Amino acid sequence: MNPNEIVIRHSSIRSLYDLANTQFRPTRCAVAVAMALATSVATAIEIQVNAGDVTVTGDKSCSIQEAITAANTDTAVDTCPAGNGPDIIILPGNSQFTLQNIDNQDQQGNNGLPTITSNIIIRGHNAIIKRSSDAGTDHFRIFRVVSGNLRLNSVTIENGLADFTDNGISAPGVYGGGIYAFDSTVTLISSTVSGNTASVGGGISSSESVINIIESEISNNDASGINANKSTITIQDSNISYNRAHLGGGMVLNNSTLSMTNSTVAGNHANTFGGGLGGQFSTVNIDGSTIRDNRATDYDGGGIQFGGSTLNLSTSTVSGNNSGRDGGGIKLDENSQGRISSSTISRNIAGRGGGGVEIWTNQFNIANSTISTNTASTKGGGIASWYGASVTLTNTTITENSAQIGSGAYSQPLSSIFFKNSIVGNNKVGANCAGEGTTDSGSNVFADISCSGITQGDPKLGPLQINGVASTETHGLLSGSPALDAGDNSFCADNLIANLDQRGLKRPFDGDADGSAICDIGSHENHTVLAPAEGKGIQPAHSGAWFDTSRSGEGYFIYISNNNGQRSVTIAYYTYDNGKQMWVIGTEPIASGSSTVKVPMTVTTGTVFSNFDPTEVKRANWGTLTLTFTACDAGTISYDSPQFGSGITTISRLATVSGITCNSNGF
Amino acid sequence: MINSDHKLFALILASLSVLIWSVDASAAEGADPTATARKINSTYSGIWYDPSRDGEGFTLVISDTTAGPTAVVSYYTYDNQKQSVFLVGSESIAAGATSVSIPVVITSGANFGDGFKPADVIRTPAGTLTFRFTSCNIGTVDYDLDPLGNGRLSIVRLAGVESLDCIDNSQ
Repeated sequence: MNPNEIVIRHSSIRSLYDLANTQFRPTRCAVAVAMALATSVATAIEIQVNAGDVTVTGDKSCSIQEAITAANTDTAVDTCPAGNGPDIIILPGNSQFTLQNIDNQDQQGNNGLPTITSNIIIRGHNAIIKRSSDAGTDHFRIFRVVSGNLRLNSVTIENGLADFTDNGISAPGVYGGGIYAFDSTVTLISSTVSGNTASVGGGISSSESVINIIESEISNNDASGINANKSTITIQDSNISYNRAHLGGGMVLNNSTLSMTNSTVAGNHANTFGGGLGGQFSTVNIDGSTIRDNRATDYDGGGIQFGGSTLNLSTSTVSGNNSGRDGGGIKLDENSQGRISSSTISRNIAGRGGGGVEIWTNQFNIANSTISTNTASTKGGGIASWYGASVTLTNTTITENSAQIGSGAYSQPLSSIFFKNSIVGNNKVGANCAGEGTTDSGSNVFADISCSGITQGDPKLGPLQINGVASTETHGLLSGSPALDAGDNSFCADNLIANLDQRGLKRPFDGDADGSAICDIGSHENHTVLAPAEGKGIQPAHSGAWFDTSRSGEGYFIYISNNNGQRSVTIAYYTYDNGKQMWVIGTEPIASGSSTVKVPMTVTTGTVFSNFDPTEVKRANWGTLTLTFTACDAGTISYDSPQFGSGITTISRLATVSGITCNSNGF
Repeated sequence: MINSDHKLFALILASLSVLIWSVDASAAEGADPTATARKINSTYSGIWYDPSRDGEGFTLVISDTTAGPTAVVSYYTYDNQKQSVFLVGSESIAAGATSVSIPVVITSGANFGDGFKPADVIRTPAGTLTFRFTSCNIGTVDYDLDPLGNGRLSIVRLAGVESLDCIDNSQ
């Protein structure tokens, strides 16, 4: 359907909206919807319905069915006045309309109310319209809307039932237990669709229609809260919760567009795919929303699953979802694309791979986001990339996830994960990265060598929490974090970052007060001044084999270790005494930030190689070696020994330990 | 990355002059000939020793060079005349290798301090040391040394490199 046709056909909606919605708090979306629909003015007829009246027998009382017919046909019915174009049906405050019987039957099955074929606003004042729950009540949906425009304001719709059987008699009605819409616009404002059942679209079934859900609740419906086919769905300030389905527990989309803002999708359940949201060939835009505690029991996408679709998720949280197989939080199947920005993917669990996110797709971007505390049983605790996917993560923090293989990120060899300004560290069980497709694209902090072959050490992150401003949860940086002021400012200027951090705070911020504002690595920009990372002190990358280039034949093995937070150096010194070899060895803690350390050295004697007896080994004080590093690859060692005197040599590297580099803020 | 016996390491820190290297209980695992050897990577860099031979040890640095990954090793021990000796060597590591055999030399002829002249150093081939690792902290060294003989030592890690956590590449 051409959307413009709706605008023309229903051109008087704005005036009706103004008249009818005195309790409605206008929102950005609602205003936009109203403006899109509105141009001219018509005289609205108010049709007052008697409380609870569901009779259609001409009893001198205007029932809800008679009011709809009067509005549809612009003729008086019983005591209901004739409608005049767009009409307003007014229900008494807190009234309840319990439908006992089928009103009409058509190719979509049984309907409890006359089909809406015109422009109707129902001002409900918290009224309930429900199918009777008495045993033996016929099976019928509540509303059917065909080429109409229905707006529900403060109305609750309950217990509609559209299925294949009507008390044992086969019936074709399988769509929309609460509302079925075709070629129509349906708008819910401050309304509830709850406890309805259908084979398809338990709450709402939309075909070639526009559905607007504003400050409303779609809950406890089966199957799915909303089923959309070739439709445009807008959801704002609403809850989609505790619905159930085979596919797409909260909502299932086919060839449709969803725009959801400031809403929650929670506690929904699918047997197969997409516990919260699922479907195919659709465009899904989610902003400022929470997708939590949904479940896809047998297969993929505990929170969200789509194939052949575009997913754009921003300033949102996907948390606590659970899948039986892949993608505890989000699963994107083949031929999908999109982005996640300024969002947190946390505490999701996958029965197989991709605890937080699993991508099977062409191109996908994740920026300014936190992927934390997710769990996968096998591969990719935080994120998994499969089958040719190319995923780029910019200023994203992946931590505290767990999996056997690739506890932070797993990239199948045929696919890629590119990291820019990102943190992958402190993930549990397996190495932080696995697979062969993870690539260092610049300025990252990797806590081990598994992601790119080098490590910058412990990222030193705070707990996952709301940090300072009301937003999604992030991990702040602790003092000494190598991520502090160590990013690439050009990455922070990318479109999806726009010089803001995940919380919306400006970046870069001069977090080490060195006069130069550099982006922090990861999703969170610290806005307090912390100690610079590592300083110019001795650091792990000083480990290796060293020697004085003018003294070939003599040398040092140096190891920088850390035990319970205490950094220490162990040094073995190989030299000579009167033509014979002599080695001495020693270890000493290193003062925090210090670039020099004096190490007491021990000389040993006393046993033989072939009949080694440890008890014969005698250890004696040899003196001290003082190491001073002046650069990543340069330093001096001075010796001071009662027996051998004192002196100093300049040392250079003979061999570097692979996989670890000097910190950029150090040497 | 430190030997799991933290008390041991604390003791080393406290005073090397009274150093007593106790036997690490986990060393027994190192003798298991059926354990699968792991691919050698840089995370095995560190100081290793056989707890039954307290007073000697190995330093190992795994380094990327233009020739590929290379192991640089020293073995600090004693000869059969109770003289301190050290053997040093390096060897490239084949891709995916689970062992590396490193030819080592023993040196002599030089003096300490200002008396040291590089030209005095005599390097004498002294055999090979072959390293295998069955876990992050356990391995074996097969030594075939002239004139010290041959045999196998079960080694455990005494110290590693901060932030370079051992990764099991066998998966």
